[in-house]
Amino acid sequence: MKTPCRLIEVSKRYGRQWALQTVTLAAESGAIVGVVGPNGAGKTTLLRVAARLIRQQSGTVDVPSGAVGALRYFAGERTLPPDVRVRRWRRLWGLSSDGRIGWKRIGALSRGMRQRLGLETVFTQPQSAALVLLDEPWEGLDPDASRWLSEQLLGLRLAGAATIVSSHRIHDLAAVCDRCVFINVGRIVGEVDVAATFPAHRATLLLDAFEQSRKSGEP
Amino acid sequence: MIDSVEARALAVLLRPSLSMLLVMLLLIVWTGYLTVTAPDDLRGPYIVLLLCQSFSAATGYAPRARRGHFDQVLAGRSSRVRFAVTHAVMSTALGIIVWLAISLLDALSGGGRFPLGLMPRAVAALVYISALAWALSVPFSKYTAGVLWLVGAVALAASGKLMALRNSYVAAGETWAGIWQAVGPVLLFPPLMVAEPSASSSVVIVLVVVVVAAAVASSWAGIAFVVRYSLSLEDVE
Repeated sequence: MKTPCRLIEVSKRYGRQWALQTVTLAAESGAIVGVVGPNGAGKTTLLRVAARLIRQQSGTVDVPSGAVGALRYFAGERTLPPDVRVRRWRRLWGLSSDGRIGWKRIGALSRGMRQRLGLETVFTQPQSAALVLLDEPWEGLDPDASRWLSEQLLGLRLAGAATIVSSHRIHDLAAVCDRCVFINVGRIVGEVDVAATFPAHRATLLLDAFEQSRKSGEP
Repeated sequence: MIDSVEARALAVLLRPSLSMLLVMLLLIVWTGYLTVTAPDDLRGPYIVLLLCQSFSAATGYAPRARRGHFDQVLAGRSSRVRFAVTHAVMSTALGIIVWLAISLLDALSGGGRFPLGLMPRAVAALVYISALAWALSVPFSKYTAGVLWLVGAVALAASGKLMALRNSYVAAGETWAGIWQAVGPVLLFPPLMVAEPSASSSVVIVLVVVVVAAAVASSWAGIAFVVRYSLSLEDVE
């Protein structure tokens, strides 16, 4: 099985503060890996290092590079350019036009609509994606859109993409991920494989593991 | 060197504002008017275009990068050199296209006279302004270079130094000391190369080389910034 994402002993520091410390993480093709941790734990930094948007101080990042679309990353609706019109943005990424809101600027959409627009960009042509990195993708989505997102993630798995998703929404994450890593103060402090767990028990398992991981980060 | 996906994405992200497009259109209309009323002297549109280009090419990079606007184009890139070059090309394209349009009108109205906009000294001034405006705005937000240059030009004019710069450029002799005397004025106020033809040709050749070298150095600095800049996400909410 291919491993499109392999981070080995990655460390990243902002000034004197370590955001990541010797983090090792891999995501295989067709796997959905959840990243869970409290605010400021280093989840966003981890995904941005994996996306090659931030350079690590040390360690190795082995991810697809070269062809646009092989690695896809979305850090939330606030990263979309607010002054661009929706139809222009959709055309750019090969999405079908949306006649109702196409003339609006992205900044004029509701938070949930912006989030969905950004996610649609990531999910277009899933067969050409090798690695997908999503930072808090359920934020701002209504129940219908949340269900749509979960279906899209399962579609990515079927298409053979490796997916890493960071989220606080443990119940949503439990429904889709194969395994979950827990991060606190820049370190991976736990990992739970939920693929073999009965779906109804996954969320409880992850919540328990999250509590454990929080305690491990306390001084 | 330019990737089509990057170019399309940056064409959307760096699209000029409507007001900038209108100003550029007005410049072409003004040039058209001058080709009828005063076809022998079209320096005005070129000089105004240089000022406009200092705004138009200053599309900014770092603040938008910190907000994640370039994430989808930059994700997975092992090198950002190609992205930086595409950013520079897309940022400067509008001014260069309008410059060529004005040169075309100039050529059509000149009765066989070589258009001013395609003379090496004028091209060098455009390249220098474009590169410097783009590179200066890379660490900052949109229009930074234009504002800086405008404030600088007004300050020079208000203090009477602008005329001194002009005189220094025009009086430059064919010695190294004379050329050195003209370098400062040209780098500070490049429209002199378009507006004042009277410096001797050998001086102009050296100045063209100096100005193009300064443009290359500015571009290199801008590209180096884009390549090395850390794209840590800024929380804008």
